[in-house]
Order: sequence, then structure tokens, then C-alpha cells
Amino acid sequence: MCDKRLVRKAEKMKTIYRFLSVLMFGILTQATKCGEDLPEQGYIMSEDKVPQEYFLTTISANYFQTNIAQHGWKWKEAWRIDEEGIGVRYEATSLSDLIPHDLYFGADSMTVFLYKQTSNERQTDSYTYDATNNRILSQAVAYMQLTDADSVSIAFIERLGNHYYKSRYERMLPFELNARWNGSKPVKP
Amino acid sequence: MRVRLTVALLLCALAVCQVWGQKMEPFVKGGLTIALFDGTAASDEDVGHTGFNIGAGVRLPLNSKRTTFLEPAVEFISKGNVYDVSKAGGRVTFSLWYIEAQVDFIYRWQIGEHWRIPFGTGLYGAYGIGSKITATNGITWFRGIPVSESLSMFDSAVGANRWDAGLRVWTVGVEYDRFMFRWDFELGFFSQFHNRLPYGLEEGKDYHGGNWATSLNLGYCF
Repeated sequence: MCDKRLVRKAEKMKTIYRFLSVLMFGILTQATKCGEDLPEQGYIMSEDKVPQEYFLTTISANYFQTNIAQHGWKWKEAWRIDEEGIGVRYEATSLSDLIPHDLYFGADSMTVFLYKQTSNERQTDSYTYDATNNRILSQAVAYMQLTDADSVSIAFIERLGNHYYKSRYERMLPFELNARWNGSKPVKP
Repeated sequence: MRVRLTVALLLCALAVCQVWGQKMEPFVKGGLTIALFDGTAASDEDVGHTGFNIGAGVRLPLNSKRTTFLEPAVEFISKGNVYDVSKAGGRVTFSLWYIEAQVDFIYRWQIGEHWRIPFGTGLYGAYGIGSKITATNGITWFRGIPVSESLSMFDSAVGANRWDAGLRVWTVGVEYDRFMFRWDFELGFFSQFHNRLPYGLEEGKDYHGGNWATSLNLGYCF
């Protein structure tokens, strides 16, 4: 009598173990399924062929005004973003289609310093910063989306000429900004 | 593949264990869970998600001295992470709710008549039954996720895997008669955010992003 009860209990335990084994195996099999692959370079092309930062994080208007505005930013490097593919990025070995330029953001106006072969110019216009998409809206620039910022550098996706670029700028020292102001002539955007 | 095979073999080994005539002890438990996404701990933006868990299980003695047990349990557990995004001026909270099956192998050390110290390790598997993304006003994007929209973590825009599994690295605690207190730590084997939730500012880098969770539980054994 006692033996039969023990055997029944043992059978129950076996059933429980088998059930747990199947359950865990099923879960593990599902959990190891791969997700979507990352775009290799971190851009997505919108329908109108405007590259969007894949890892875009909001940079608040307050952060912009506190850390980016009231400073000059010198252009350091750019990578051209391919218009056809998703996430294809080229390092710019030839910047012949770009005009070297620097930036200054005031509280509500911005200045683009352009270094042309014949003269150095600056274009000043009003701007607004739209934190919903980190966009700089101004007549002085065609398209500008702030993608990254820290105390010494900022990065934009911007349209320069016929292409979109990822550009990185470094913060100017005050004397560098003064040199830009003094060494350029104002022109209309 | 090697991990899968090892785990499958381990589970098969458990399945063929024989348990003879020992009394099963059902229990209930619940408590606090603090969770992170793996790979984010080094980031100064990483705050951690505070949630809870509640569940029930059964103790299956493996020897007649009742010092070793298998403890299968099922619980509802909340995991996720909170990011303090200073540049965005606020916080983004990712919450995930799972139904989780756990199996622990426990050794229980008897101290005197009433007190026992259990410790052990185990495995878990979980299925995500819900999620929520919330953000401080003004934050619209976090690492490519449109947090202002009503979006599930399991949508392709975020890419979280509904299924999760991993190691219950440790469970330790103290028991007094039928009451138990446990502290455990779970480490997810598999990436939950393969395509959308890396940390840091480097683009295109593939981070692990699995669930990490530690829980403090109170329980009662019937």
C-alpha cells in the first residue's frame, strides 16, 4: 500500500520534471531567436531621402541654450552620407564640394562663417531650435539636425551643397571666435 | 549553440532525477525587484528600474535528509531600466512585465531548531506580457525610440524580445519556521534590445542589452 503511494508520488515528480524541462527548453529556444540587425552606420533614410540619426536622443532647448549657444564652433570633419543606401557612410577624402565653414549660435540668431577662395564671408540670420527633432530652423542653413553634443564638440547631420553629411565641430576659444568676426565680411544668406 | 546544448542537457539531467516519497512544500513569495539592462551599468545615465515580483512555487526534496531541493516557481515580475538623460532634461523609463518560470537548486543549511540558511542557483525563462515607455515632458527621442508615442517595447521600433531566459546566479536567504527571506540575482543570457537600445554614444555598435534583476523577497511555506 505504502509502496504504491510512493510509486505514484515518484511518477508525479517525473511528470513535473518533464513538464519543466520542456517548458524551459521551449523558452530558451524562443529567447535565442535573433532580432533585427543594426544598420551598420547608424542612419535611416526617410522617404524624401533625408538621413535620420538612428540613435537620435532629444537634446533639450535648455541644454542647447546653456551649452551650445553663445559659443563659436569650428568645423573639424565630415562624412558624406550616401543618398541611396541605408546607413552607408563615407569618410570624406575630398571635400571639394564643400565650403569650409564654422558656426556661431547666439540666443536667437546664428552666424555661418564661410571660407571661400576669394574672401571670408559670414551669414547671420535668426534661428529656432526645435527640440522635438533636434532641428536648427534657419534661412542660414539648408538642413541641420543636432545628433550629439558635449562640452567640447557637437555633431550635426546637415545638408551642404547636394549632399547630406555628418559633421563634427569643436568649440572655439574666445580669441578664435573674435578672429572669425574680424576676418570676415557680412553677406545676406 | 554551446550554451543552448549545455542548458538542454542540464534540463534533461533534471528530468531523469528520481525523487522518492518526499513531501512537497508549496510556497508563495513576493517583494522588490531592481532591474537594469546589461551593458548600461557603466553609463552615468543609468539609474535602474524599481519594480516588484509576486509568485508561487513548490519545494521538491532531493534527499531524505531534506537538505537539497529543487524549487520550481512561477512569478509575475517587472524589469526594465530608467535612464537619466541630462541633455534631454529628464528621465526615460522602460518597464517590462514578464511571467517567469524559475527552477532553483537549493541547499539548505539547518541552524538549530527553527532557523535555516538556504542558498543555491538556477535557471529562468520568461515571457513578456506587457511593457510601457514613459518620459519626462519634452523628451521625444531616446536612442532612436520615439518615446512620446504610445509604443510597446515589443514593437519593431524598439525590438525587445518577448522571450527571455537566463541564469539565476544566486539565491540566498534565511528561513525561520515557515517564513522565508530571499535575495536573488538574475542574469539574462540573451539580448532583449538587439536593434534599438545600445548605450553610449558610439553609433552602430551592437550591445548585449539583456535583463539584469535582483530581488528581495518575503515568502511563506505551507
